[in-house]
Formats: sequence, structure tokens, C-alpha cells
Amino acid sequence: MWYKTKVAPLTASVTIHASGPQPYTLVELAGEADVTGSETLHALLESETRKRPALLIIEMSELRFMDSAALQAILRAHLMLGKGGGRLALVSPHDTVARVLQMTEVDRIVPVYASVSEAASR
Amino acid sequence: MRGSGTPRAKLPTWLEVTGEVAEPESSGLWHAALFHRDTAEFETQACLFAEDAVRAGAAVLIIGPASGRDRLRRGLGGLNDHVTWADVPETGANPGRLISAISRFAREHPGRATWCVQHIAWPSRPAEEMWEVLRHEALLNMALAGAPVRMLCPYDIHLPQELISCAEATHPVICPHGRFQPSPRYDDDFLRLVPAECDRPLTSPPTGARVLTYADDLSAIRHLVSLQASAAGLSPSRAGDLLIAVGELVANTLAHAGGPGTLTMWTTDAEIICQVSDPGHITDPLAGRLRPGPAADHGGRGLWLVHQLCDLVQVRTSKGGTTVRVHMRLAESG
Repeated sequence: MWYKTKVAPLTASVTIHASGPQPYTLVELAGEADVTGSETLHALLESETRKRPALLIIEMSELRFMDSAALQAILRAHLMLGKGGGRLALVSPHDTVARVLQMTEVDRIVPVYASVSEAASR
Repeated sequence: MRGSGTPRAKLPTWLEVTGEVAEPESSGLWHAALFHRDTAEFETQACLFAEDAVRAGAAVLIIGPASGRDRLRRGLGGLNDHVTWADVPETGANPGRLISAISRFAREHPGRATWCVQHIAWPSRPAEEMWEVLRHEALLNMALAGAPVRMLCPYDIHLPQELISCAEATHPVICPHGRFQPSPRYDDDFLRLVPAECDRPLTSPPTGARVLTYADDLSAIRHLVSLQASAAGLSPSRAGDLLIAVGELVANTLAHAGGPGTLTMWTTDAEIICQVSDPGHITDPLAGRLRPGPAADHGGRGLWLVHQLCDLVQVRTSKGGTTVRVHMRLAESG
């Protein structure tokens, strides 16, 4: 399954990888994630989280900016997944996105990987 | 910016700050201004303080510029093993980060008191930084009320009298002639805690400043901040920090102010300055001063990030609106 939704200036693509030894949901974020798109991002992550994936991967290599409102949406997904025994992984944050994760120490509670395959193999 | 509602007189307790149970017998925050004539007097008092701290089994933190550290280190001798040093650069050391840093240090030493020498006021420090130092001193009384923390804050008596008076008003204890005593100027009414001098109007932006109004296109505003930062010669990593900070401020306008905002940017010989004004009102004086835990899902990270990333943050807020001015030094200051 695959769909794409636009949250200007943020684009999110969702792919569900149901087969394979480790099924996972992949959310690819591109553009800029700020307060103007954070509720839509939250709704998207919440609806994917409700499907109770064992692993939800957020791929960030094309994400150029993330503010604390968007970070909040990601944290909520992390907490919700954790309650159902699932887990969240972040992939390839860079520049200011990585800086925000590091300053807030969110990177200490949500694992960060260099690639989707690495995240999916853990 | 921060929602509507009336200002609360309720104090944040140590319990809320640290998430730990405060000791019922704890005597709470002890916060003293040490007025010294010269460096030797400051060093003598700081060493006596550290000696008492070690004897009391406390964790010792010394915050100050690296330039004074070697001398103090020699004076401390064998006590050095018990001291944690936190260097502040002589320029660009935003005092708005310190409550968060001191709270963190205290949290990392559970079951022990924290004794801290806080050397953040010196005569060559620019006035606009000094007033933010004094605002921080005032807010510290509120943020760490009830905490098992002792703070010794040296002030050179050659500082301008209005700063000395303000230090007397923001410290419950003063030490003017080598003896600690209650400060007659200190008023423990938390609603009047921040002296009015700290809230004097900001200087006007220069005539050449760039002024932009925004409603919801934050991406375009951030892009312009990036352009201004690189034109000013800010290093890429610090330009990224400024972008994050201004991004949080303009996001606050949308989240809390319910009206359009204005961004004003200009560059001086030493700094790039961005100022965000909007109709919001930040009613919590401690907004941005306390670090939200990494798992906290209630927000509150925006202004905290701004304080961590910028060299100086000046907030002027009232029912009529809020202005936040952030400074980034063009030279790396660490």
C-alpha cells in the first residue's frame, strides 16, 4: 500500500511494508515541518499508529526544517506506539533537524539510524 | 505568544522543576550577592564557600568565564577534585540558559545539596547583557524556590550604582563588607520579582533594518532569515541555530498570538539581530527558562530552544503584545 499527502510546505509519503521478516510502516517526510503542518502531521502519524505497526520508520533525509510543534507530533507517535508495544525509529535527520533532536535530547529516547534498512534490521 | 489567561501568582515548586520529592527539612534556596572590591576578595570568598560546601557534602558548581579559572583553581588547591566547572564565554553567554543548567546539575546530584558560584557579572559586560543577568537572578528566586541550592553571585562594587541596587533587589542575601546579611531591598512578592529596570524599552531598530510582516507563510520568512544570516557572514552552523530560533518565534505567533507578526532584522559590526513582534502575551515569566524533559509531550520547547541557541534573548511582553529580540554574535564565541 502506498499513498502521498501534501501538507505545504511538507510532503509525507507513507508505504506499508507488510511482507519480509520485519514488517514496518515507512513515513518519508520532505520539505519543512513546522507549526502550520503539525496538526496534519500529527493526524497522519496517529492514523498510522492506530494500525499498530510493530515498527514505524520516519525517513528524514529530505526534511530541511523541523520546529518544536512538528517534533511534538513525532514524540506523541513515539509515546503512543510504545503503549502498544511498537516502536518508532528516525532515519537520516541532518543539519537543523538533527540539531533540534540533539538539543531537546529526543534523540536519546527515539533511536536514530543512518538508513531505512539499518532501522528495519534492528 | 503564550496563551491567554491571567498571570498566576502560584510558585513553581522544586517538585515541578525536578520531578523529585523535595526534602521536607530542606531550608530551600539561599541566594547571595557578594559585593567585592577586587578579584582577590572574590577569590577568597569563593574558596571559603567551596570549602564549606565540601564539608557539607554538597555538589559544587562554579560558573564563570574561563579567564578567571586558573587563579581560582590555584586558590582551591585540593578542593578542585570536588568542583565541576561550567565556563561561560565572556561574550555571548546568554544568562537565559542558566536556570535550566543549574537545575540539571542539581538533578544529576540527587540526595545532595548544590552549592554554586555564579560569576556572570563583570564590569566590561555590555549593559543590555547585564540587565538580562539581573532578570535571570530575579527569576532564579522563583524557579528554585525551596530547592536545596546555595548560590553565591559575585558583583564588582565598581559596577554602575543602578546595577548594584538591582543586584540588592534580586538577592535575598547580600554580602557588602565580608558579612552575609538579609538584603533590605529584596521583596519576596513574586509578582513584583523582576525589577522594572530590567523591562526598560528596547532600543529602536536602526533605520536600515529590514521589516517583514507575516501571517502564515513561515517558510518564506525562514528563507529570508537564512539569506540575511549568510550575507552577514554568520557561520553555517550558527546560521542554522538562528534559523531554528526565529522559526520557533514565528511559530509561536501562529500558535498563540492570534494575529500577524512582524520580523525586523539588522546587522551591526558584531552581531546579527532578529526581532519578532506579535499581539501575544507571555504570562509565565519562567517561559523558556526550564528544560522540558525529552519525553514531555506538552510542548514548551520553543522558547527554551531560543534561549539555548542564541547569544542574548530579550523579551518584552504585556497585554499589548510581545517583542522577542535575539542576538547572534558574528565571531564564534563558543
